[in-house]
Amino acid sequence: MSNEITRFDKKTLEVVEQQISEYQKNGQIHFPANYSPQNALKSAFLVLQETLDRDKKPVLQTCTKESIAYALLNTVIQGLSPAKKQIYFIPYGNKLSAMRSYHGTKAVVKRLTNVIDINAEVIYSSDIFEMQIVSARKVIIKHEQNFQNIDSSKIVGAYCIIEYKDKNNEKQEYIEVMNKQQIDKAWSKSKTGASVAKEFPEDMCKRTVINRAAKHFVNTSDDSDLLIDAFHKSSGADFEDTAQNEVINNANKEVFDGDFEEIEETKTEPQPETKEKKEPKKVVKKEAETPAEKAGELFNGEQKPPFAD
Amino acid sequence: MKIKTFASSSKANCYQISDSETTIIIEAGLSLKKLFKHPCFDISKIDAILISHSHSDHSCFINEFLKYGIVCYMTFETAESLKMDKNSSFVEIIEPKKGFKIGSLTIKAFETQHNCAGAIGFHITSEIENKRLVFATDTFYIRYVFQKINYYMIECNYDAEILEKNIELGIIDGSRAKRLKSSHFSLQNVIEFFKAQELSECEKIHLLHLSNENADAENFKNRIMEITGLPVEVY
Repeated sequence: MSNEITRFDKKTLEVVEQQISEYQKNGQIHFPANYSPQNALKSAFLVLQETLDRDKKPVLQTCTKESIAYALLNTVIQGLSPAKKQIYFIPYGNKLSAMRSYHGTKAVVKRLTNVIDINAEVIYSSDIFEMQIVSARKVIIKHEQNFQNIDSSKIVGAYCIIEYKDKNNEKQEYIEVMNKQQIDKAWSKSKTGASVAKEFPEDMCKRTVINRAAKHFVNTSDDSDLLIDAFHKSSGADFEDTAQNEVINNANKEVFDGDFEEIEETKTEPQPETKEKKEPKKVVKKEAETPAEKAGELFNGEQKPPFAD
Repeated sequence: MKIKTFASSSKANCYQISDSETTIIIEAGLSLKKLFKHPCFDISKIDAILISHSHSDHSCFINEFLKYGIVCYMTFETAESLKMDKNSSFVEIIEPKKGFKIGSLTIKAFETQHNCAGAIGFHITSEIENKRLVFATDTFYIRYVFQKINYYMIECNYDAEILEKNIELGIIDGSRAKRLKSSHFSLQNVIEFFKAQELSECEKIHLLHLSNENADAENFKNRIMEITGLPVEVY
């Protein structure tokens, strides 16, 4: 068994490596100076080997080769490393997907051309927070926080600032502000988020607002489609849950045979007893007897052709 | 075959299927008191009632039908959950893919995909009219492709796009949306269903069980008409 896995690994790895070097050659993708796609791939594989699915089986055995290759490709295109917990591999049925953590999101946004930095902060109820809207853009004028104000139970909102350089090389800020209500709503959409959120509300608030800011920002950036595409494919919300996977795998596949062979083949006209066994209704309801019998006659006479073909 | 929809929603479901000889009711979600008000409902003509699954919007008035001596057909799981007396001659336990006859109608059940054990849909053939009908509601997809069907009665509960918007607006909470996605038919999946079906003999499509918040009846009708080129009725 172990042999099989190694062989499988190497093959998939080679395919992904080839694809990546092709992208690099064509100039479709640029990696940060200190990022080695080969090393990232190898470390991703170490993580993958230890990743188990719901039934405690290694995903390398249960997931399709294509989905594994795709998850790896997505990881490397975004310049992320699973060793740094920037990305997690999660199996959905027999499909492996790469899901970005918020550290990963920050890393990807920083990689976009022009982005200088991305940061998020939580607002507590006794903070002094002032914001303004200038030409349909939010501007944060003031956020003062006393150390004593920090109280996980009194979070009223969070914001994320992405600093970037515009066309004229001037520093600009993209700001996303969410109040607690909006954050809670975002949590309620996630599968496990709501319970984690209760334990580490600050982190979860930052995560939520960073994700939202990143999504808006990424969608309006001019970076390579390859990166943007990979970005969206490993955002949690873009993944259909297992239900939709089940639909894709099972829906409208099998031909249903609606014909009623058994009676047609075995029964001849004067056998009301067999019918009675199949149809206890007749014992109960008198008036039903006649139509049922009539139908029996018709069934053997006129109605044979439709069953014959 | 005549199809009459008395009620179709998450509150109550009740349908009547008849050919010139046999009349059956599918689902007991409406009280007889309400049904008696319908001019085309005649209890003395009802030969049987089929129950797709045990959720109350499909089954809560089953005992009223039993009192009138109408035989109820359901799966073992449904009977268990509704606490039916399985030895009663009025309760017929059916299994998916095993055909049975009610008068001139031949019926074969098939499993549906719902958050309820023993949920089924029905393939109904009228022998005297040589027409076939497929009935499936409360299922998030259907495993099967059917052949030579004249009438489809299929749930079309929600539009995934409207649902997403409603989640954003906070009208639908996340856990409810998750449950919907794994128990009810979305417009998008219904479209895929009809694309996979062979519709050459189909005469009409009935879309059932539309959600109040997450559906747009007019749009559903138009989209399915566009895909199938057939008359569509929406409930």
